[in-house]
Amino acid sequence: MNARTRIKLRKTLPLYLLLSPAVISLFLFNYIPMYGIIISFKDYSIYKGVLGSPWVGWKYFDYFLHDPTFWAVMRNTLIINFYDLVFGFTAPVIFALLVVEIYQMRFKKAIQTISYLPHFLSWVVVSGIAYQILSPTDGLVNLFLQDVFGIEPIHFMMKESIFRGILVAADIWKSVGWSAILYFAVIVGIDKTLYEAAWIDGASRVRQLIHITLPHMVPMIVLLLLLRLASMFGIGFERVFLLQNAMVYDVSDVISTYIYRIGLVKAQYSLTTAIGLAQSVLGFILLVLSNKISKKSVGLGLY
Amino acid sequence: MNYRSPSRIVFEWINGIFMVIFSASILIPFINVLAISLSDAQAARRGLVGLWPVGWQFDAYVQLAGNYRFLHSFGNTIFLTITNTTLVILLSLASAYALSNKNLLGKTPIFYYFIITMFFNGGLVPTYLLVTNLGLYNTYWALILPSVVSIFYIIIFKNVIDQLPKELMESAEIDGAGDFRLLFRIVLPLVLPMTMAFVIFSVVGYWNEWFSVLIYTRDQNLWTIQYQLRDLLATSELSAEKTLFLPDQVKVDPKNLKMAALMTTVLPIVAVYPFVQKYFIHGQLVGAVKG
Repeated sequence: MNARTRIKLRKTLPLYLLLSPAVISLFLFNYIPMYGIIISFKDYSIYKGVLGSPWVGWKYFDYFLHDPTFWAVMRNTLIINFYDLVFGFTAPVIFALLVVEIYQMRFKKAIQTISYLPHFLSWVVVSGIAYQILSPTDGLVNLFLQDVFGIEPIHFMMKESIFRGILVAADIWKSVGWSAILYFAVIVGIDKTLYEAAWIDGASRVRQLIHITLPHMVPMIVLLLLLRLASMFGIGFERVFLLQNAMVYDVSDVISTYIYRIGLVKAQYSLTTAIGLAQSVLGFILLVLSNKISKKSVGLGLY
Repeated sequence: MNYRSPSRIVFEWINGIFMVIFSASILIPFINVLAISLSDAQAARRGLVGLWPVGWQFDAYVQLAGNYRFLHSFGNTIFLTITNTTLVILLSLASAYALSNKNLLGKTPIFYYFIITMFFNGGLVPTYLLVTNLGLYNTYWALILPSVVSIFYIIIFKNVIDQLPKELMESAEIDGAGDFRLLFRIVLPLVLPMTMAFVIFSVVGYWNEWFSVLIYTRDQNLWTIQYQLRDLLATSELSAEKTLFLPDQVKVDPKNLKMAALMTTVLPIVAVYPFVQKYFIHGQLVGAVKG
């Protein structure tokens, strides 16, 4: 070590001190659990620890791949994710396009403010509200349907046929406004002279939308879509866990709730770690693939 | 562009009506919940309450305010929100400040050490096992320590600090200011808007926290307000009476209590929301552009 490096090191010593809490914390709570993934190839027992437990190779992977419950859960995960993608992902785009068409400034501000609000509430609160509003005995929705259309009360939260719809709708309700912020920013940033030129050339509103607004939104849409695809195999635990009930397990149990239930509640540590590992590897592959496709087709990628 | 075609006017009306319905779908549920919490027990039980309380009474709130369990979980949430927010902001600022110094030896490896954790993690079960093996299970530490580092905040702080004029820090350094002084006297005031946004994000995040309580604890004394609320909402009407010991059955229905508890956790957020909205938006936009 030459003198210069030594001086540099001494000067930056306080910086390492500033870094140390974060470095230590990451080591403990991120890197050690990453190492803990090896228990998916072991018969983990609490008494023997991670190192002492015997190796079992692909036993647990083999097990869940032949487990019908796992495939049912996987199927639910993919179906709900597909709905989320088709409806949940497009909703903020459409919402943003509609909101920017409002010309009364105060009305627009009010709509935006109201639409952001649910994002800041917990899923506990949202599910509590959902159960109340959709209750078959005193929920406002059923009262309304009964009074106006004469429809018999519907057990919304207990019907397998509509429960997935409720999961998707709840997510849209909670996040559509907030997710639209990014699109608002894009639309506001579009050069106004483009619209003027288009207007002079006689382009209708719809044509302006197709030829100016949407093309400008594409990069942001692709970016968010790629991030979204990476989590195709994982669904936010909180939404499903808090909204679901025993009546709709068959259509709503997803990988994250399944891992929680058999992993932590029933202490199947090795098995659930194996499932978790498979899930992240699949997500990673999907991200890399879709990034590649996106780069080839529209020339945009995350990296 | 003052001329508006007839079809344009029709569109604007339909759009306006749609927006009103959309806003109503967000506001009406809250009004309904609030109304039920303020109605008398009979009306709440029979489901007679719409958007206006039937037979006003505040007893549900009075009951909650005198309930030890509820107050304790409220206290836990306030304690954890303050602790966690302080820690996460301080650690992020400190790390970002250190990482933006170009004289730092091993800067790139350290930065990768941080970034990797953004893309890979051990997953739920290995993290749970670690927390348990460290002896943190069922302690406040389990609710604090695993989430004190936010890579996202660090990256954004680092980007912001990188863009600060270098002369400012150099001149302060010549005047003999150490790193800690530099960080708190020079850097922090300059990145204050970003810091505010993150403080508010964290406060809301920890205010809504219940998941770590679910996985890392079993002791009711560690419950946060959201977990308490979840427990209360999930219990049937009968056991709700048991858990919150209702001495005076006539005046308050469990339904009143549930809705009042729900409103109590929502109101603080709604109360500060209008004042901090611009910070929220700032944070969301910066995160998307730079993250």
